[in-house]
Amino acid sequence: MIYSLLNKDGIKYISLHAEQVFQNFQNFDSQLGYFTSELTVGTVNQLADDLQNLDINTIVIDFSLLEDVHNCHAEFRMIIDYFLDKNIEFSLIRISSTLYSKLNMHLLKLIENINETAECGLFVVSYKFDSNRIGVLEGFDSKIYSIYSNELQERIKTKYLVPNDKKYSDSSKVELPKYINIKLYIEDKDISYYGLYLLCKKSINNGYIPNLNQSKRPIVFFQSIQGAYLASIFSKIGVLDMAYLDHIGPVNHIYRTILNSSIKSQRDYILISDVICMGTEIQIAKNIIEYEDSKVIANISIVNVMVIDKLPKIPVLSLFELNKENNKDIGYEINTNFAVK
Amino acid sequence: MKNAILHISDLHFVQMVYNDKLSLYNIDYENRLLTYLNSKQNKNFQIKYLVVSGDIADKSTPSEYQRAIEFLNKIVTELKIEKKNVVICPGNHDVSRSNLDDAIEARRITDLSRIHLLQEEKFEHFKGFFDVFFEGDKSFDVNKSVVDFLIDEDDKIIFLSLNSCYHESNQKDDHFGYINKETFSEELEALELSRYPEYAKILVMHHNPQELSEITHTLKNWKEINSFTQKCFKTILCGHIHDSDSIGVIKNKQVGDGEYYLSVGSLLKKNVENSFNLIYRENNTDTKAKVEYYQYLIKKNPFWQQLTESDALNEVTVYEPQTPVLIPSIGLDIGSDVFSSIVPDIHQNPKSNFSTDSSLDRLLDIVQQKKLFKSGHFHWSRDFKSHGIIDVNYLMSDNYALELITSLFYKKITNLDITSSEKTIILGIGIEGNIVGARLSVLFPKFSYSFIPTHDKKNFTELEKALKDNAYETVIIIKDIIFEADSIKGELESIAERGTKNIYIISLFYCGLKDKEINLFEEKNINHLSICNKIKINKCTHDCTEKCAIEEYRLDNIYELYNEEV
Repeated sequence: MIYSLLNKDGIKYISLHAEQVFQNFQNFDSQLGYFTSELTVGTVNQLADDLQNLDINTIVIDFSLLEDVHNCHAEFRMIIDYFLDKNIEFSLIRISSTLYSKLNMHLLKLIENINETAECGLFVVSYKFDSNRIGVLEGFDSKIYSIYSNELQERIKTKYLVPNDKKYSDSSKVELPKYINIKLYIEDKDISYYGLYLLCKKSINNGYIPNLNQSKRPIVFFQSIQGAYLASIFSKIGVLDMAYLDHIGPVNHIYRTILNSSIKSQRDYILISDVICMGTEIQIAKNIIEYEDSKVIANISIVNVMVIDKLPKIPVLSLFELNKENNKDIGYEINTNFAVK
Repeated sequence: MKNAILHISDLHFVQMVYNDKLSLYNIDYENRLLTYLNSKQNKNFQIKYLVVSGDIADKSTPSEYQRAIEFLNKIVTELKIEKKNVVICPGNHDVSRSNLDDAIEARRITDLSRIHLLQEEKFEHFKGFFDVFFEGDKSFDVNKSVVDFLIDEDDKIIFLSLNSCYHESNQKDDHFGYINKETFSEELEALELSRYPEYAKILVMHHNPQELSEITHTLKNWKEINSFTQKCFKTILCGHIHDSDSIGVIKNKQVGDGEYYLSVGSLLKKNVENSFNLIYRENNTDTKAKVEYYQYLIKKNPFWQQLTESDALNEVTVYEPQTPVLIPSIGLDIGSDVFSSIVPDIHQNPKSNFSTDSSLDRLLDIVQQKKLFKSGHFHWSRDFKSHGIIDVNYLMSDNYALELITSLFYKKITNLDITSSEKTIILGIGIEGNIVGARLSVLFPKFSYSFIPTHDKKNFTELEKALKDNAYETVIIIKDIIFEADSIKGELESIAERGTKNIYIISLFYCGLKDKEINLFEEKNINHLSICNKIKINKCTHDCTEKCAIEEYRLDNIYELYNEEV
């Protein structure tokens, strides 16, 4: 499986770093997560296998965040030869000089229609590919977030937004005729893993997850079963511990006083939610964590419903923001007795 | 401010009557030393750790140790070193020869070739000193090779001090260093050093690993011990030879076996080199540490000075960054022994962290260390009550433990007979099942994945529909704890009847009766496998119609974990 595959306008995009991160899940000794920077032959081989199952005309492979590579230039060349054989246009972007050298990419210059440039200090090697199609490389990450967000929006609209059997929320006085079923998102493996990778990337770029050399890393906190899934993978990628309040017995009983306390004091916590809507769950979690003299530094979610235009007390990072504009297409509703202004 | 290690050794505290002839120690010397150390530390770094590599006393008598305690207390107080950051190991002079002489005289031992085994007698007074100095926070175990294991998370540094005096005794032929290999390998494994790959690691022992300063009283079985330690410990601090000598990479030339051996002179003994070392890293992520040598020069006005020109090491490696293990392509050829072909290192290297047997032991160690087994009277429902619980929540909160658990489930699944990846689904039950299931879903990308909150009828009905629609041939259910599985039996058997060929329910802990473990379900195509079936939790045999004595008379804590309305 290619974990990071995105499609847009006939071009397929793959992040080799994301592939390496997920490939490293098999290495139980590895505690590198997102912070891995070395491409392994296993990842290259797996990619080579998976590419053969795709229908590809044009592909962009992003090498950013990879600084070094094991000895696998022969395996990598097999991928290139496959592309050439099938006349697939490709662009290999943001290649570090070490990778360029160790993968013998200079040999590709001998191939007709190969074009090599250097942008932002990194190599770009393209075959029959006009790089204007992907725009400026400095904005490439934003482009990827945008492609992902659009895909997620489409799926919310067509698949994940489902009728709500329980119209009235227990925790807030609103009616929700429909809800966004993140379980369906989770079951869509082709999109969910990469989403968690991108969320982790955002968290790191925004300073919520530090580099590995920092002790006392933040702890991921969740409260729901969807949150359990999301936190499990997010914590593996971010190399973080988790905490949660389980419901031993029925949902309204929480028995943490009899057992070890989940919440450590004087630590930073990152809340992970599936959908942020009214914010009640966040407030409960925040109160519990702050009671233990710790701090919530961010709230991460798949979807953030922008109920009102007000800056949240805790910074929110999400893969998709459901706002008034894009909701015209999606159709999410929050009803109260009071008419909308 | 950099945190530094003050390495001293061979104090050789003597009884008062020999004070002037054998020892430098007096109030003046003490003050001069402390003043000098304070002047060093305020300028460049803070001395946070104190390492004393043996020969605290000269004849291992209580009075010598009493003076040693006073001296060391003065050092830690003046330099503001917390006692938890003091690392001490015994030296050959900390072996009580007089006790061994008494043992011979009293005929408690006649075979002198075995006299070195009288560890209680040998270390009676050293143990007294150690336990008193640390005020009960640390205790010296005469039968262990590992004396102390100190981890500092802020500085990312680990100290491991060893007892290299296993073979020392009052017999001349026993005068060599030796570490008890049998106990050492087990003790070292229990420390789980692989959890700290990016930590500096420093080994402390009295005897030298290799000949230094042409003195041959080295550690006799260093090669054996080093086979266990070499991956982790690159720098060894030692004493014994009363000389600041070192082996390692000196002036770009490799000497020794890739490690760095640093000995230091005697701090207090007269007529030998008197010195201490200061060791520190610029940043706590550096793989190397700087070494500064300080010597006491006895002249008309004696003074301490730093030796700046010498052939000694001025830099040591304290850890080597690890690279990820190279894993060949997974290639989902389920049915063969995929696990060993995917991860050959684990089968070939018995010391690997995630081989099944040692992983299970490690898991149970974590349960024990974190005290995750709780006793009490737990009422899960009207009909089911247990006399204990395993705090799986706390267990899974730890990333290391979760990786361990995931690897155990992974191994179980790779050994299943699965014919079609596309028609296989992994299903996590409950929060814990979903936490593990999430990671397994990444490891088996061709399998579908889903989860249900609890094992109640409504959730299973929906699942049953989904399973029927999708015609999965194999369902793999991930569960944290199973007792008797009564609550999910009916639902699973209903799914089994619908055509799903194989249902595997894999529990992390099976706490029910041993003879029922495999035959929990009547349907032949429902198989129960457990990761760990070693923890039995008794079910309360009293049903809802009567209370057991524990409940009635509140003999233990009672936890009502269900709601009658549910």
